[in-house]
Amino acid sequence: MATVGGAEQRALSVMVPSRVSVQLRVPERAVLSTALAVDAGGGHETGAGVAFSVGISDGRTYESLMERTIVAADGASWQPVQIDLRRYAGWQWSFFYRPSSIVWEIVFNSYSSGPAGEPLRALWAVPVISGAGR
Amino acid sequence: MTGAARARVFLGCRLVLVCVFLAWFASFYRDGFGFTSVLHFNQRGAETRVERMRDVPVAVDSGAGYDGQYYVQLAVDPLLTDPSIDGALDSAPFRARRILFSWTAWVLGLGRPSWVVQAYCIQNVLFWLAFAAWLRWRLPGDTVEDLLVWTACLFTPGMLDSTRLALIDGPSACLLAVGLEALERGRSFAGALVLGVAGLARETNLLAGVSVLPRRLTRRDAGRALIAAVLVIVPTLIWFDYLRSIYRSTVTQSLDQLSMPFVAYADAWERLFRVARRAGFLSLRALPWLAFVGTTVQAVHVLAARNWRSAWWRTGVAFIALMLVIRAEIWLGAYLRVLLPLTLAFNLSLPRDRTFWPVFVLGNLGLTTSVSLVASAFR
Repeated sequence: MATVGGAEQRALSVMVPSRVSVQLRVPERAVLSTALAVDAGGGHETGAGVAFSVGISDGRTYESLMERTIVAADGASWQPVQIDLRRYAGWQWSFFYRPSSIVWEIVFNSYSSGPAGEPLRALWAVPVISGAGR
Repeated sequence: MTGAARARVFLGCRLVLVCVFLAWFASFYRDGFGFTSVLHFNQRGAETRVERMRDVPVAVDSGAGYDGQYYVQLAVDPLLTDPSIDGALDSAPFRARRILFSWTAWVLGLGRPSWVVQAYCIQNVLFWLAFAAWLRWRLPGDTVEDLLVWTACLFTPGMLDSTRLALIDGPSACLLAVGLEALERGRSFAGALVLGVAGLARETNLLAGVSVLPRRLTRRDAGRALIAAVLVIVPTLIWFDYLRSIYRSTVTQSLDQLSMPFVAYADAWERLFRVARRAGFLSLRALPWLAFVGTTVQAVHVLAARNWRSAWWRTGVAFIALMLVIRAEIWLGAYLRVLLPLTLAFNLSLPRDRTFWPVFVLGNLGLTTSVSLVASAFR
């Protein structure tokens, strides 16, 4: 559990830089929900922060789904993120593209941004993929 | 001179020119490597080749290499099933959009990588020979004018560059010519289908789609034009869809090749003129400027002709529009290949009157570059 701005969430707390990935079949009409925050712990340089990005790969082509930089600051709060994954499942307007047959790798990257200083930790509120079914 | 003797003389001239072309191409042959020197593989490209091509010997260029090295790898894996091709090409989605002549090489080489590579290397020559025969049919007269136009179309520097660099522009222009000729002769669906196939060679070939627009605004003509337009666009859409299943949103990579109208053109004019003035207008370094002037004359002449009913004219105008927005890098030399359809439209629409000679000479100043290119092989 991690508390940011008084709000507590189940979260992955990772060193930066870091890369976490999960493999899965994306359900139809899926949305990936998470929230982002920076754990400054023992203090931080002014302007220091963490660049978060989420991408998706089929082992051949990587596409960026979201990029956001959060500056470490007092009075920070969770930054909610919702990512539309509908293009990676279900029926598509295509003769050849069959996303439901693909095991996708969703990649969560975080790396430091701004001036170097005390190491920061990136907080990913436990990502949830909600959809119409498997 | 009798008609038969005259025909023999002109046939002899054509045969000599064909032999010059073949002898020039033969100079690219290397023992143990065949014609692979035209692929211009650089060191890195040779080391990171697609899996199926690893055992095929290829000549390696000591310079930066050129694009033929990418298209030939598509030829040994024409459906891009091997993921190693993604790292082997500089931009796999971009190259793969121009797949047609990789397919033809695969068919000519019966799918065997070593044969496919050699087939890819020589297919520019095969298309050139077929185009020479087609042009002879298109320009049947035994006249000096027809012979000159025939020569200008075949020896234009864009055509020679395509051959010596194993690129797609020469064969692609040949295909376009066949499609446009079919349209000119009223075979709108057959012509449109050929243009559609040509779109698989280069996306810029789709510009020739303007030639299927109706000549008159009647309901019947509009309906036929609509069907023809669908035939032009559908092959590209289907192949694009296939590529999208592999490369998804990155499939549109490198589609932003355009600049503001006139900006790159004006810059190229100024740069090439400066070089020519400094080196002397009769020096070898002035040749790029002469070729540039020639292309400009072609554009002006085609625009002035104003012949909306002609498929060639419409295509020429579409490529003039492209000429005005292509990026500065293209003006470094590739424009002679990119604008090949304009060169053909210009030459094939030259009137046989007293304006022929001055317009032909000025519009084909680029042939001086061709003479230099061919001569360099025999030095």
